[in-house]
Amino acid sequence: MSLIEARPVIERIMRTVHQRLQVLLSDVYPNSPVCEVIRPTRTVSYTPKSWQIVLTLGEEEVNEAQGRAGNPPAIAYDAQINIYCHLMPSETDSTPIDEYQAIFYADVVEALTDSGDAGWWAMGGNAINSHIQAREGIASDGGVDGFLVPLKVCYRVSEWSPYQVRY
Amino acid sequence: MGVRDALLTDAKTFMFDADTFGESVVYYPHVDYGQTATSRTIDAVVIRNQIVAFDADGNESVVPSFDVYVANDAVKGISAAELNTGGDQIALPVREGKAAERRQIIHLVSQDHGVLQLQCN
Repeated sequence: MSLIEARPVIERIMRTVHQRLQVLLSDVYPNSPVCEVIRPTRTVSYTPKSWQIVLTLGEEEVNEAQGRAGNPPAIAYDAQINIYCHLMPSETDSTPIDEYQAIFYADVVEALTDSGDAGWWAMGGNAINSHIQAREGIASDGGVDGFLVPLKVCYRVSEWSPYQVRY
Repeated sequence: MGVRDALLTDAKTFMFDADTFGESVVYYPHVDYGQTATSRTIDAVVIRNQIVAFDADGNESVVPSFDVYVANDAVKGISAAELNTGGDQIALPVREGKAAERRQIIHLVSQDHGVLQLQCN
């Protein structure tokens, strides 16, 4: 069993999303000079930077309609993965912040959906479906700080084992 | 030298001195792509806080935040004119005794002729 298989299904999905977003660190998306893609530790001690992506797992809910009977039964969950995209360009930068946000959002969507396999939404065979939600602004006292891309992922596991994907 | 000048001089020399209330930190001004990064060591008074932050779901987490007081001076501190909250950083120990790490300057909280109050996260 590889290390990744030794993680619960939701963690495998998080790692898949993290891996896909890391493509933004390369020259594939030259308009988005992403500096890092991080998953915070317990102390949430990272410092915000421009063109930084912070990935967190949000709320999870049981999806009754996608559950399956059986022995053991299969439990489906809707999980929200929060993709925070921080933008803090120079005070002297005359480019409209909306332009930067539009570019950043577009490249995040492309990176997420360019999975190389048949269905990006399956998250490497770990999910039933995924939806990218509309972005939400992150404001602060100092102006716009970026935006949030909520990613809804539905996955199904054995009631007895959150490690086991159920189709 | 009038009283006003004397107070400014005192603020810039006495208040931030590492032998009194201050400590030495390193200021990294914002640089655009292709430009060479620069830095300089300055004196600052650093108040280390833990503040509550909320994520998209309304969940709380406690994160480090720093009130940094520096002289409004382009040599001994940071001048208000050169400050750029879109990329300027200060390297400071997150906890007393630990190694310094770069933190982003988020806000210019307050300013006067002698002192800038900065928030770093």
